Amino acid sequence: MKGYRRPDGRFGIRNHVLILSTVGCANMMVRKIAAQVPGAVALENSKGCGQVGSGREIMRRCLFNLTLNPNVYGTLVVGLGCETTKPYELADEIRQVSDKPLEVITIQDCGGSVRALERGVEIAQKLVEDASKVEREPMELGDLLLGTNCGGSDATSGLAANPVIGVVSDKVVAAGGTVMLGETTELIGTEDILASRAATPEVADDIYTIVHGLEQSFVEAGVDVRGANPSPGNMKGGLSTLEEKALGGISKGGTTPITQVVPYGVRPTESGLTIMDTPGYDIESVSGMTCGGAQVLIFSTGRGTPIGNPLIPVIKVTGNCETYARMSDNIDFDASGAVEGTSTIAELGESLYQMLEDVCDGAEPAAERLGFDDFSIFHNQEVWCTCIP
Amino acid sequence: MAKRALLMADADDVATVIEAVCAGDTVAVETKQGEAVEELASAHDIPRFHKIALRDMAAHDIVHKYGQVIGEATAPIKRGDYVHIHNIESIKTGVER
Repeated sequence: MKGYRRPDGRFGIRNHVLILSTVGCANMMVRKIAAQVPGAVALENSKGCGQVGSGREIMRRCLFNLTLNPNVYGTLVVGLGCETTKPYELADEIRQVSDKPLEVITIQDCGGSVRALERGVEIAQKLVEDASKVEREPMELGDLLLGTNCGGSDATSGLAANPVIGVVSDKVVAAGGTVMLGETTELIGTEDILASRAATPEVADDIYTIVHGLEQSFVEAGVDVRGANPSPGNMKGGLSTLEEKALGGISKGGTTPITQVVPYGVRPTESGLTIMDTPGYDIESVSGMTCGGAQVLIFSTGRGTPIGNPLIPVIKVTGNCETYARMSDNIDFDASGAVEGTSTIAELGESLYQMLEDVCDGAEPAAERLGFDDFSIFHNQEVWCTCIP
Repeated sequence: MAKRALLMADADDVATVIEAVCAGDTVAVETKQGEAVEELASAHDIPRFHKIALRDMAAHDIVHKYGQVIGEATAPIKRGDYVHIHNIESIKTGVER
């Protein structure tokens, strides 16, 4: 396979110019800039100001790490100018660790939106022009960070789609690459199995910390996780309990030892099978893995979903032949042969791996082809007046 | 013609029906490798990809699938019964009972 070599030695499988908003007040501006510059991708930010504590911390590191995603050639950071994200400071910090092209403007410093748009388009056009000169070079499977996610699961996800993804995960890990499991809500009930597969006692501790910590926060909030998980669609699809859903879910990580647990939006420093502490909400989970450096993601769905991502291709796999037939415009790979008894998990894993190679080499999975650019950063710890119920 | 059901691990208490089952239908349970395990009569209509009980269970008995715990019975369950949210629930509720 071939990819775009970045200054840090990593390989992108796409060559995006990122127009990154640091605050909601600059969202319209990044949209307008990207609309005038084919080849530029706008990423909006639902927050970026008025945030404190871990919420601010998560937001900032996600913006930071997005610019480092190997699929990004270079970034134009666009701020309003007075937000807590501090766009110039953010850009300076990124420049200390990255030699990728990085520019920054604020609407206030440009002197209003008309001039900011003009300046932004000018910079973005130059970035796209420079990006187009990057040649694709040979890269190894071991250069990949493959994200995985489930969404709209049904019972076939655990019977077929996830074990088939697991075959691909094992191949990537065997080649020296990195695979990422997430969705901590959907690890509940599997923590003992995962911890027994941890590469070190510290990793086992981290697995228990994120799962028990999440359970504890449900208890403290007095909420019953069963209210949201399994979802109504999961139940209709034959999943009765959170544990059943989770046991089916973790098989997409394959069978190798778990080498690291990373916080939301953080890129792993270890290769092998890793876990990112992400929420169960698909868009936030996939977005977190994008911040964490995934170049591509394989997504299993029993009931069908169009979800994609602006920076990384999302390959959709279902184990449900009816869903595949009904939502063929959104789903790339039919793993139902493993349920129907017409093919084996190993055979299907091999063909899904071929599809992954094709996508790395430029083939567009459904979500990318149709332009699904769903993106949302998880931000916890909202502090706000709750005096009036 | 018996309806197919998949057994995910040897000691599982439930199997997943691969075709919709009507009460009274014969269900043929097989492993992932396609080896026939047993046949039983279904006591209920069971939607496609939902679960059938392979043995009798009492309320509060632990229910296994994938060779692991998926929850506990909330009512007595007979072999051949439909198993879903009406008769099993998560042990990991998030709220201490």
